[in-house]
Amino acid sequence: MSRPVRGPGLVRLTLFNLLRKPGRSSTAVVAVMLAAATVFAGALIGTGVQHAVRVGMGRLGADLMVVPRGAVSATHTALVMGEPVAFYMDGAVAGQVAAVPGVKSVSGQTYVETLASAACCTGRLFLIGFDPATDLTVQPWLYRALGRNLAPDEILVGAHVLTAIPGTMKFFGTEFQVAGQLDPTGMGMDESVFLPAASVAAMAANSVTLAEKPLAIPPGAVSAVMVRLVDPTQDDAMAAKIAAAVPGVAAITGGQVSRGVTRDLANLMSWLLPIAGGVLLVAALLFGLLFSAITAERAREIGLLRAIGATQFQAVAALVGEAALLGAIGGLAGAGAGLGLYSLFQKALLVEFGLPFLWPDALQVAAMGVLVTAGAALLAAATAAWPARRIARLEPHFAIHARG
Amino acid sequence: MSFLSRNWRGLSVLVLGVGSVLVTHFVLKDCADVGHMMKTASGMSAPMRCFYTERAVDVVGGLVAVMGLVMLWQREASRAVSAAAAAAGLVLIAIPLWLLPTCPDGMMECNLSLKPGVIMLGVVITVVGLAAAVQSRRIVNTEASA
Repeated sequence: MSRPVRGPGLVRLTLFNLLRKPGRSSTAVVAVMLAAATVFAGALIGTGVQHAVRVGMGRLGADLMVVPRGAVSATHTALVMGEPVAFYMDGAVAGQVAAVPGVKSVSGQTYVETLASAACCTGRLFLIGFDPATDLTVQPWLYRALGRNLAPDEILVGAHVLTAIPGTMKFFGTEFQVAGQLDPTGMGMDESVFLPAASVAAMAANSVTLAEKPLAIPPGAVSAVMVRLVDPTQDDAMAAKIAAAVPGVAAITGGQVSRGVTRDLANLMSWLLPIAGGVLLVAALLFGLLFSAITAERAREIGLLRAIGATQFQAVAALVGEAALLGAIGGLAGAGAGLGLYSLFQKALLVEFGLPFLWPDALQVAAMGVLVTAGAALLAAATAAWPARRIARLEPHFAIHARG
Repeated sequence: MSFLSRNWRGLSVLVLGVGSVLVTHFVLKDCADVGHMMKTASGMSAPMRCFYTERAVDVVGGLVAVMGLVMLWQREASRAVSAAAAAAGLVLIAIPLWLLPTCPDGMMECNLSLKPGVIMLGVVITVVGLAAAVQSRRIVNTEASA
């Protein structure tokens, strides 16, 4: 039994009109898609970078980091990107920092840069030796995940370190058991390997006979001192106080790291935003032109609709609805394309601009997609509204006899 | 009907095929391009596996270009050849992911450049191949009904 034929409602009429000229409709969709993809990718990068900084700095567990004066920039890169660094200062610095009024607790860390692996395909790794008795970074996670301290031959690896768990890794001739993998932070910690400071010292001693190239760490030296403050809101003032009280060191605050990341993000946005603006402008112009042509072409049709009783609002709504539907399709496709392209080139982009990134939760990504789609539909509707209104305001007689 | 509107399917596939070979060869980078080599037990240097990924992509890109030429010369075969080009696009996507995967460390040059670039090329070739196949079907149907 065939279905009864129903009169075309506004939605059916809109769909019919869009499919009548698929080439023209696809051009409009592609223009909106490009604009939506750029805007969506930009929003995703901004949100993911801020999310990574928030999670990463939280996981660091310290309010300040004290490092040798010349190592501030290298430490920033190591913290954000996990680029291996190795610098040392006298271990007595930890005690001197702890003695500064306003400091609650301190913990020393020793940094080691591994030799590049000859096998395919592990590069250099960033080893961080921590003091299990005082550590602020790994120990809270360790108790939650393993419920025990690390044995001298055990290591923890960051979320992006390529290894089997349980498995083994060899550094400077010494073999370690991988006890666990930390949760992702989007920052340098994901590329790092954590082990007790005593194991670093033992590895350095053994490297003389076991490694291709011995590991030289001055006895009792540390690379950085992680500091927790009595009042974390005073971090900038305390950083200056520590730098004045302990010679040869600089203190890095969480705020400084965040500001550095924001600066790098601004660099990326400085070329992404003009592209997004340009593509948006082109898409809006294209839509305006396209719907001017469509309304002129359909003047007779609109006049007939008005003559058989359609109101001005209904005539405008048919055209604006068509534009909004095209915009929404383009916006949705753009959000999908932006997500796909960003997923593909995410690492290259972040390495190029030195940015951390942690995927926001799926709900947040979906909300961004909905916003971009709604924005594209609104923009398209707005650009089509003026020509649609102009033609709908004509008397039906003039509209029917207008030359499209 | 102009030359372009008659032959856009073949031309697009040809350009995408030649483009894949050129872009993979001159723009996208594998580890060997930035001097990363593997040391064998005998002390010799050998290219890492992403080197062969690039070679495989070159071969499939070349085949896509040949399909484009066939579509230009034998227009009646365009529908089937477009579908084959779409399938070749899927093969391109599969090369760096499963068939000849790039190096395992996500931060190595091949994973930052070659792998995402080839996947993107594969997606574009698949979409264009499918669009060309659908469009060819429409032409065939129109001609049949006429």
